[in-house]
Amino acid sequence: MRIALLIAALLVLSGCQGMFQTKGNVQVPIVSIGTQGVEPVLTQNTPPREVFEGSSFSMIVTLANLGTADVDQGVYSLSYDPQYLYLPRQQAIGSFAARGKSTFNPRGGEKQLNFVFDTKPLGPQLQGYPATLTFTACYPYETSAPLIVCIDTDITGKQPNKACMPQTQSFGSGEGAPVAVATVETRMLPHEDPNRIRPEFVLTLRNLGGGGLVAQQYYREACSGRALGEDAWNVVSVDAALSDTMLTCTPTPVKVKQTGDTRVICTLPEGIPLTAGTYTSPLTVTVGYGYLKSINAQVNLVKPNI
Amino acid sequence: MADTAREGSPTGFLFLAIVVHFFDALLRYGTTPIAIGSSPGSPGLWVLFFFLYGMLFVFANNNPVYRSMGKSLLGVSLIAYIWGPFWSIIPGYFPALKYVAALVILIAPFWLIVTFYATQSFPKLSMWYSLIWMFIVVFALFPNVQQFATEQGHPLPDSLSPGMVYQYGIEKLKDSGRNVVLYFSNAGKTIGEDVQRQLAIASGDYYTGKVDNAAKQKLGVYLENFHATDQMLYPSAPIDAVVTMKAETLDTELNIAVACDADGNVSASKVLPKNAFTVLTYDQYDIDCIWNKGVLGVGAHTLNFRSEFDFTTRAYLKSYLMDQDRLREYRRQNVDPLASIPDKNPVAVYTSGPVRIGMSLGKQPIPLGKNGDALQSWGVTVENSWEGKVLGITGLTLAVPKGIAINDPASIGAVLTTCDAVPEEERVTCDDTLVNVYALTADELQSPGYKNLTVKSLRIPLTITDPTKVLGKAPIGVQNFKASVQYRYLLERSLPVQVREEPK
Repeated sequence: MRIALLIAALLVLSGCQGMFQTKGNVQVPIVSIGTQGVEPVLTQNTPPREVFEGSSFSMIVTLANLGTADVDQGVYSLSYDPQYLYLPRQQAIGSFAARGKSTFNPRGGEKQLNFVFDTKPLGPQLQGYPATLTFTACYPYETSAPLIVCIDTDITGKQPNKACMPQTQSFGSGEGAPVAVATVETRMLPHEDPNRIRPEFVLTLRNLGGGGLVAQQYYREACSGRALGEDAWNVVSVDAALSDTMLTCTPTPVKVKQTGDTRVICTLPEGIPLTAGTYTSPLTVTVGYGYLKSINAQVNLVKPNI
Repeated sequence: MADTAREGSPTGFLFLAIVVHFFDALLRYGTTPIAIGSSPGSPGLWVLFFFLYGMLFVFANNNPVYRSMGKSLLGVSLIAYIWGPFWSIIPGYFPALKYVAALVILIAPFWLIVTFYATQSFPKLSMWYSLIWMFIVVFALFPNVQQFATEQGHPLPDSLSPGMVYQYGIEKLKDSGRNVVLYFSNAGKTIGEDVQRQLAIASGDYYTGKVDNAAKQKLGVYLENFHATDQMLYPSAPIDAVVTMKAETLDTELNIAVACDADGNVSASKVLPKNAFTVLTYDQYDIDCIWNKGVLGVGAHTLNFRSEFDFTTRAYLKSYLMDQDRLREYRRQNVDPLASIPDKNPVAVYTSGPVRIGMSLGKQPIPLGKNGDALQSWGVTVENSWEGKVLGITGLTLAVPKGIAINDPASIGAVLTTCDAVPEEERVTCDDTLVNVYALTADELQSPGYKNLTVKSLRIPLTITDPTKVLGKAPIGVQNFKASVQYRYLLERSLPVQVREEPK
């Protein structure tokens, strides 16, 4: 029985070969690519394009987590014209949770929200009204970029046949989050201690998700009408670890440019002994931020007798 | 003098021929007030004609060219001329003879044209005179001239006369003249309105809007095709002028009062089918304004049709509001917070009807400060957009979203009120928990600015009383500013007519 289930599962998974990578003899789905986080998507035909006055309609929003980070406490808010539409006020705001994509859940989690609006009378002589609905989702998110970098303590280049060479690596497809670590440039710099070298990593960050970026602690306010303050917008926190050792990154906090590249320099102040030689090492970069994404819809309220 | 006559002067002959021809064509056969022909005219005129023809005969004898061919032509003309007195004695049961006689009379004056060509003295003048004359003869056969002649009491074959063309042309010229006078008297009013409008635009105190996009119906009252039922009007018959009135409304009934007068002071004897109408959705009426016989005397008159009705124009301006600081933050980042919104620059939308309401709140989104801060002022323009008159504004209500108030409403002659103040049919859309309602006072509406309104703009100062009520808990608040104007409107149509003396 178990063998039959396994075979069936393999047959199903074999249909999605392009989304898999091979590790040894086992194919695993590639989830850590892409530039999307939690995406609000309107279900087809909701809301309808035209609705009669004095009736009701649904607007179904699916919050699909298309990135790799889990969202436990996302919030949303809905703007609408209260003079023409009625929605119980408590429904206009709320919270959601959606798991990120993973090897075991390559589609990511989803949360579906159904808003049922009542339309009010248009009033005498008025024959139509275009009602605007704006849905905004705000959530804390994280970009996690596990990389392999080359540490080369021989900065004079005397050693032949090195295991690797420090170089610039590019990651154009993103890491499964709206803020992408686009490039990592590895540099080996002299240390004040002549027996050590100081590795430095120049990270290039880009907001590729098409939404707004706020400091993670402000993500809830981002979905409200309140001002956040200059220091809240486009601010991310960057943590980097070379193997298990935390690096020091500057500037802190990082203000991501609206367009173009934002450079962050992470370094290991204590350095690495020259005796360590040349080797590859895992570099884990974690970028934390709050993200907000909006969608709009327009519904034309009309009179039924026209 | 005798020598000149003997040698024959072409110039003198032609001049005399044209005069004779002109009078001949104009005066013959009862087509002018000087009736000759079917009712033979005064003996004096006949003597005059004999004299003129005699003069022509003398000239013709002294002109070598004319002498050779003109006598027979002059003879034809004289036969046509003398035919006139016998016209009335041709028996009615002998219609064929009447038609032949009419055609002879119509064609006979061609002798002059033939004469012109024969002399070869004035080729260009001959050509133009011939063309004009041929046009007149052909035009005499046109149906509208024939109808005109019939209405004048000259049915076929009497109507086959060039003189009828003269009379028809003169009648049309008179009508045109009356229309020109009417046009210029109205133009003064129109120019005055345009000046007011241009001044408002020039001062920046003019706000635009567009008619309700979904408006598939033209709401209000429309007057079309105001005309007299008869082309010829006489004091001895009732005078009937008809207008088509179309009226359309949604949701609210439309009460229309109609009236007719002549020259502004002679009311119609009857207005049919009635002079008051109530329209619930759509109706079309042909309304007859009838002046009994003898009420309008001979002469030019202007018939007026007046339609008065109460109407309401409503307008809204959708607006996006945002916390001022947050908006600044967006702008510093060069981010447009409304980038993905389909109608991010909404304009005021007003309901179909005779009055237009324009509104503006400045650039959107509108920055919303803290409690007590001023919001940018709300501009409202009320404008007469039809050719009728706004007789008076009977109500003007303004509704702003809850959380915003009009600062010092007395400055614009308004008072804070409730949804109870709006017209009854609008109450269903008015919610005191969502809007603050202001109404202009009766005293304010009696002020000169609202009398015979062409264009009136208000600059309404606003203040923020509770931003959270405006925004709710969302980054962008979607709200509406509404204005509603109730007024009495007058539509007029005028028709210049000529009441003629009875045909003899």
